[in-house]
Amino acid sequence: MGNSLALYNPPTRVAEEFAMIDCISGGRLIAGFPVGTPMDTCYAYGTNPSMLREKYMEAHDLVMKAWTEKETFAFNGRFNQQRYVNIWPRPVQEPHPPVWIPGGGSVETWAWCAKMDYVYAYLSYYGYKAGLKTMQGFWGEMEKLGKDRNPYRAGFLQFVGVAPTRSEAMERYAEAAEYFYGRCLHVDLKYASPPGYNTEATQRVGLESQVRAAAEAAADPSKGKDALAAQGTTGSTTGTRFNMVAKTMEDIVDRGYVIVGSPKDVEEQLREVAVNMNVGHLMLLLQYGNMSKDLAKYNTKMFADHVAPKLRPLFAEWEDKWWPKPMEKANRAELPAFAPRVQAAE
Amino acid sequence: MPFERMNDPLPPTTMRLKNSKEFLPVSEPTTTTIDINGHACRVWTKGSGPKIGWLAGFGGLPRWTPFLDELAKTRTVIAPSLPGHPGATGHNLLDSHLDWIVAARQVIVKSGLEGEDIAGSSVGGSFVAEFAALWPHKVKRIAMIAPWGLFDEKDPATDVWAQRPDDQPGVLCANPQIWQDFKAVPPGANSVEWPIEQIRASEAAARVFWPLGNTKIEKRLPLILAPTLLLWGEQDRVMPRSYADTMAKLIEGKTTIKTVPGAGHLADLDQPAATAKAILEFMS
Amino acid sequence: MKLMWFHLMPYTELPDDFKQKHPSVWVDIHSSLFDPKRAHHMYNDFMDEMEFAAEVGFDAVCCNEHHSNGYGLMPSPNLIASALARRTTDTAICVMGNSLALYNPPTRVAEEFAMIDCISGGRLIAGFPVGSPMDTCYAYGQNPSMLRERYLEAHDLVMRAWTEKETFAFNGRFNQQRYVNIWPRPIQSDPHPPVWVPGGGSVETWRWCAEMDYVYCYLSYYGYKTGLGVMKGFWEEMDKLGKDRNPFRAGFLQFVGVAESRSEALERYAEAAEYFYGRCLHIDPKFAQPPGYVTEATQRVGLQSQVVKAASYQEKFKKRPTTMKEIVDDGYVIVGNPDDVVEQLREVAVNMNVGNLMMLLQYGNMSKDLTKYNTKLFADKVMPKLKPLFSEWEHKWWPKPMQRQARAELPAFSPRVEAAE
Repeated sequence: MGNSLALYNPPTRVAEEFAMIDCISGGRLIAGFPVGTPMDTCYAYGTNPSMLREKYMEAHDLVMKAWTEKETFAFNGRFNQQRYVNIWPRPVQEPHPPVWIPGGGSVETWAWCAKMDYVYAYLSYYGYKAGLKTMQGFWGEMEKLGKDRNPYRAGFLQFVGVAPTRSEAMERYAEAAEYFYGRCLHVDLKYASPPGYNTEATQRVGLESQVRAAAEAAADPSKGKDALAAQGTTGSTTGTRFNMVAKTMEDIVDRGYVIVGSPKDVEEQLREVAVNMNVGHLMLLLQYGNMSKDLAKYNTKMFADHVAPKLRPLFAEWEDKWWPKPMEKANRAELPAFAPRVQAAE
Repeated sequence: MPFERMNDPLPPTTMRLKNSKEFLPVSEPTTTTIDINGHACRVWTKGSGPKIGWLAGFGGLPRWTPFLDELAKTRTVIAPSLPGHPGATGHNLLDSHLDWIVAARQVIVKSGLEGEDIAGSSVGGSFVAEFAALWPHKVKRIAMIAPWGLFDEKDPATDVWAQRPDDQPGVLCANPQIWQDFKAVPPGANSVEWPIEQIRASEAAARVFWPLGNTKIEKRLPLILAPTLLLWGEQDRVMPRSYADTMAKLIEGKTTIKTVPGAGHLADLDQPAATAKAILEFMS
Repeated sequence: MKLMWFHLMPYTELPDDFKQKHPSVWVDIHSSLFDPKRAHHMYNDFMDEMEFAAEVGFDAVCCNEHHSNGYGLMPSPNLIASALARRTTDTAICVMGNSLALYNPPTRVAEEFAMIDCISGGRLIAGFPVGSPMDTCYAYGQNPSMLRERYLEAHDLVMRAWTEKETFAFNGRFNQQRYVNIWPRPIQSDPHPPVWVPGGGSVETWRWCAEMDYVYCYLSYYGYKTGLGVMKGFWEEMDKLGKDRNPFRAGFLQFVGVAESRSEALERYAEAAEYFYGRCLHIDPKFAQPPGYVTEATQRVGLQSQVVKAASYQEKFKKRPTTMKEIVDDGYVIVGNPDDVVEQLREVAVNMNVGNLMMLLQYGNMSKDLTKYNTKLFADKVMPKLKPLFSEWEHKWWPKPMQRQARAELPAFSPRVEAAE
């Protein structure tokens, strides 16, 4: 979730590596194609922000063609030129592994996912309160485009902390959550907005909504603060989001970044998240910040035993057309057991 | 019309046409050098009359050719070598297409061809087009034989760099023997350096045009204002004939397309007389 | 000496008439020959074999990088290496290697190798090949005239990314980045993971390895008879440069087949060897000579020296023996009973003065069973006799992992129990 396509030159490598993983795993791969953050792409990797999206789109086309075209072909792109594209290995999944696109709230991305029949995943660190609007926008766009509301068209990321009680959960997960929101999201704003990273259309939408919020606040000052709080931690750019991050456990939970509680609390809240957002794929962050392996395993086990079974039946009426289609289990390779300690004892 | 074989008594840098008594080199070309990025580039000059420049095709000019003698009958032929082509080094200083265009411009200017008629074939033809596009008032008329720079997925140009050794001559010339003679080690030449020089020429072309030959020249062709002749070997197995039409449509100057019967990609080698005649008529 | 277990990961089901019906195993090999569901089993068998080799005591497991290639299914050796890092405990992991010019920006190589070094607790050998013409210039479309310049620049970038403590700007001819600052960074930081350079027989490469203090590896499929001349040239160059004859400066690849007797070995390994030399090395010569791939200095030597000429790709594609008898006679594959093999390998190692032997014990369509048999017999009967060789020399180019007790304990894995649920 995934390979930032413009960071692979030639992007053939993404087609090859994903095909290797799909082969080795017997067809269990979900292929994520993010554009990548400004920090990753434009600063750490030095990719030109003004060409990033064009390169991304071209790389996508190359990867898709490499997966599906049966003959060796020449690729004559703006940014990539190769005379012989012919990848070995090729993926197990036909016509290609399911593609998921992690994206911000841009209409272009939504329309593109609909057109290409890809899953749209909104991977925010700021939880469901912030994500709701984005997902509503997504479904509005799907309706406009005449697509069904199959919740498996969408994915959403959520931080969770499960414990026997809410107060225990608050206590257990506070350190890890505060570490994450305090230290891990401490990003210098100067790396947030390379010019061209946001399309002009997205800039326009962002500026218009800011103007609208300011107008609402001016009309009714008492609602100003609420409006901002209701907005959660959104904002049109990475920079504005960083500015608004809550850093104490109480705020973190209030804003909905992390859902904590007893299994029942968590189940209820996640059900609400899934139903309100109409999201069939929940990606759970059960380890975050400096959470120890013990606590991460505890959280994971609690979730697996007491929360997951209750949530699984949700959306059973819909078919997940975007889930990997592996080889039959009986046809897959048997993995050998591994016992390192015995070996080490030699 | 194959060339005579290597036991021919002519000096190593010349070839002459078989069965063509009237054509015998009157004299050797004069050799001078110009400095391009600190590397000496050879300039061959021969003949008299108005100047005509010549930027050679794939493989460069390992030796003087009958085609150039044809031109030299009525014109002062000036044939500078592009970096990395026989007679010149310095190709490996050039990293980008812009570097190459700047070097080609220096070659043209320093060999005294600014404002003159310029012709070129294949690789050289591409640089004739670039010069005419970027400095439109510094050329009179241009003639190009199957110039490189385009790539069309539906009608792909041949990969000259992925040919079995036996196949390459037939890809470049209608008569493979002509290419073999053109590239054969002359008696007395250094048997180590000569083949290296020929590979270097191929490398220099690769440095500009690998892997598809697409320099996006279509963006610049509309800047060409000079009257333009596009020549294409009827049996060109490298550059599809459709590229001539694409180019002619884009070039702003008045453009004529002519095909040369019995010629492959390097028409000036296959059909020296006919090719020279077409160029001379166009530039008269 | 170090005995290392190398896997090429060949597609094992190329048809019998492959050579007649298809022009090349590399670059434009037809996709209809590739069945991903069969490849699933090949990959899993191959990784089982590598894990088995680690278990029976080989010093390292090795993988490498190829593209659009029917005998090398690892466009990303790093994926295999990272999987191995979690299924081996003390064995060195040798990625032989990442073709630097194929990673743009090359920062990725610094990052991925650092990840493998971190995960494995410092067991990485970092191989930096230029890459074959087929991989680099044809399958990946790299410009042959800039390949070596890009390789060297990428090398400088990776080294600086590994060793420089501050975020730095890299202002190269081909790579420009304002902020280079990789996370993770390698465990082997004194000064960086050992670097091994697989190369042909070029004097420039030998000099560069000496200057940089890297291991030079001659990875030929044509055995010690061809390799001897190259390695001789290498050591003569080391002498000239005043370097010692520490055999661990050099690595060599050798195909081997062990059985109870020589005749049994010939019988057992014939099919796999003939498959490899017949089908896997069926490469269209048109992909052998992109101009500029071979430096002019090397061309010059090649036009004058048979040894260097023999190492060139063009020569490699010339008609080669493909029957078991010739394959063995020419020394491509060393076969025999354990004592035969010990004797021959000792001779190879001593004559070539090579301290790092990379063994190909799986090749062509060899089955997992036969591969494990070959591997086990080698480990039990051959390895112990060869190990003491060169013990008077210090191996300065071997990974220096974290202390064992300081490394993470890997959990046991029992998939069958899980599947039975």
